[in-house]
Amino acid sequence: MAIDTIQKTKKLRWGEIDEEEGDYDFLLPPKQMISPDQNGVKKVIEYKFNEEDKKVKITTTTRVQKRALTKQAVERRSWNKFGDAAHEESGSYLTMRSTEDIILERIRAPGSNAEQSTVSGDSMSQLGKPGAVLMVCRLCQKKGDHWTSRCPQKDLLSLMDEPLTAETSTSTITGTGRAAYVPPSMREGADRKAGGSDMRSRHDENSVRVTNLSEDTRGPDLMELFRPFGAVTRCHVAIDQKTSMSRGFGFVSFVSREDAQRAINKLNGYGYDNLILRVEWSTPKPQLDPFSFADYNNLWKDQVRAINQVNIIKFKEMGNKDSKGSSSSTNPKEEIAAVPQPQQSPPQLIRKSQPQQPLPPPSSEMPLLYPCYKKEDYEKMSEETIDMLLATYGIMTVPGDLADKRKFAFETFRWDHKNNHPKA
Amino acid sequence: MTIECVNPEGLRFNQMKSSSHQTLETRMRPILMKGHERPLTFLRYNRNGDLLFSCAKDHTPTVWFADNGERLGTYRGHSGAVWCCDISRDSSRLITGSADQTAKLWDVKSGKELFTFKFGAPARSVDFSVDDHLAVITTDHFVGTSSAIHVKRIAEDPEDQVGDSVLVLQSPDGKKKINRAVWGPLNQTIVSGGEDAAIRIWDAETGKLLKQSDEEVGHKEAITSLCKAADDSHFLTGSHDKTAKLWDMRTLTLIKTYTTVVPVNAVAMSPLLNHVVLGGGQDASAVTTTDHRAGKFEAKFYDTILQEEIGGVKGHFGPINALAFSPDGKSFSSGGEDGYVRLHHFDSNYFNIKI
Repeated sequence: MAIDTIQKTKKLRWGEIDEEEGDYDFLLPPKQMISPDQNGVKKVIEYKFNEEDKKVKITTTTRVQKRALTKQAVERRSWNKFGDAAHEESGSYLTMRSTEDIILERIRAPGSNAEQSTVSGDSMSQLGKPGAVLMVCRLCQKKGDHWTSRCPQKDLLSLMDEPLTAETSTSTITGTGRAAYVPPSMREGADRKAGGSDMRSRHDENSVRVTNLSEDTRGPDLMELFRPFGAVTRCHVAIDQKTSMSRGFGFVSFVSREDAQRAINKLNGYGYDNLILRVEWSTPKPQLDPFSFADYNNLWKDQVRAINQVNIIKFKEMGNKDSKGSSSSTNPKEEIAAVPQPQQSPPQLIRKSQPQQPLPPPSSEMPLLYPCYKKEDYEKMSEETIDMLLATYGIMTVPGDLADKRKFAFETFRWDHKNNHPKA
Repeated sequence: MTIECVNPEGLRFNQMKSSSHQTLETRMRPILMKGHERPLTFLRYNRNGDLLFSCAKDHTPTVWFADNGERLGTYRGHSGAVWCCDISRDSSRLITGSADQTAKLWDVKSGKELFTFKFGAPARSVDFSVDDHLAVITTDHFVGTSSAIHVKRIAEDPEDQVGDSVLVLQSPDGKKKINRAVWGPLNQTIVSGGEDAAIRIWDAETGKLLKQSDEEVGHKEAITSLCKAADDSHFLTGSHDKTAKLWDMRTLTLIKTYTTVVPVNAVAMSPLLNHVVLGGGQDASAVTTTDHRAGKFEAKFYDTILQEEIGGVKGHFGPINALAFSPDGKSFSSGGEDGYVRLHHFDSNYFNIKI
């Protein structure tokens, strides 16, 4: 019988695929090369299988620059390496791109770009300029003299009525607990109208307070950080006029409350510039001028007093619990629950300290930040990070390579993790 | 002639922010070069701007490619800190001055040492003349010798090189170092500045002192750095008295003064825009004030004519000791006490800076 054997076709049937051989490249989409667009950016998209046999898409983005060089420069490009460079391969660790953008930081907002640049998002600064802006007071309708919040007749006139109802309701809740914290505006005899109405300008309704900022954080940084959550009407960072450093806190106002809430949810506890941010609503304390550090200090002291009072009562009750029975044991729980605000932590002004400078006086309540990394953290840090860390403590040019530096940093910043303080 | 360069590590590209708040900041991703273990002392580009030479307190001057920071080679031979260097116009010769009391001539391409000028004191500053046939080298004060300025003839053929000085100028105050000495226009004069805070102009042929800076308007403390303008008509000096001053090269009249908060260690002038850059800073050990700004080390940009600060570029972990602009003005590099050289290429926003 002249039946030809069926020739094996090239097409593989899935049942015949040998599972041991790993060459499944034909299953992958082909490599894509996108030629440079108008910015000179070239993309190469490759697909391959990683160790776990998962399909991985690798996009390599490179900027292709055409540069005109003189003949001699081109010739120099082809020179052999000499001296210490003779034995190294190209792309060695000596030369690397910085991992972060460096900005030519302007001294003040460029005048002609005031509308465009976000530096002028700090609209409150314009209040200080005399005669630069037409000042209209919404209360007494007088032009050019003062702003609404500085109206001499703010006691008699008031803008809105609805914030008062909110405040009266909270005061009834807090009225029950003896030791509950009562903001100054809610206490008896307080001038409620003065506080409530003026701060309810269009900016403060959806304002969040950001604390534990690093020293060189500025308005534009906050703007960039909060912009993904929604439209930001204003962002301000409190600056010490003498040293031009941030006081560690600032305010961001959103257009919509939901955006502000999302920002609080996402960014509270977010690590930013080596410090952990605290983001919370800034509106519960309308009677405070948010740009006055004195008020903040007083607020913190009020809270400490309140906490201390609660603690004193708690211990008293615990002592009396045995003698008085169960009725009194429920009280401390009520009181603790009735204290709404003190659980918020105060604005901490943490400064990166330099060992040679004198410690700040304890009354200013500024804790010092001391690195408390574990050995694994040092292993993960890049060389640049370690250099920066050492440099902030005045240690320059540690000899040796990356492993030596890690060891040095670990040994220098000995931290007792159990007791949470530096090792002696 | 064009060449296509693919930036091996520069993966970032400028994203225009599409929101209504468009920031026009100058953003740069500097290239960090950590080739030196000790603080940097000097940086210089070659005439074409494609090579960057760095000198540091470790004994090896290094040459890098100026576009991507790749290291080309090092010059081994010195046994002391290298304070200064200069490159000939055709980028074939390098001269370096070192604390090991020598100045050396090198072949740029191979790294080979061609000649050694021996002195009785550390060599502080070197500068080629316009035609590269002469070099001015300053030496410090040492046991038995006072600080001086030497002029040496540079032979075309390294074989013929001899170590004799054509001219030696003694500084009036022999104990004070002469930190920088450069050639004046057309090699007719030599301009020097040093620890005694005075700038002097000398006749290059006779060695006579022609002019000295006025004490009232001049610097009050040691002059650390000097940078010539591209057309040799004026020059900029930086000093520990926290100022930099711009002078006319011929008449030595003070044109402008730029003040900052830190002692100035390095100055540079942009060949393209009217910008002056100052670098400096106090070492952490010298800080006595609680002014927190004193700890941040930045290269400060000033408008040349308005004398106002435009802004600063941060990044160094220690005082900045060296600054250099590339000849095309589109990039600049800074070297610091931390041993890093940071190479910044300006983005397009830089050229649109308005005060």
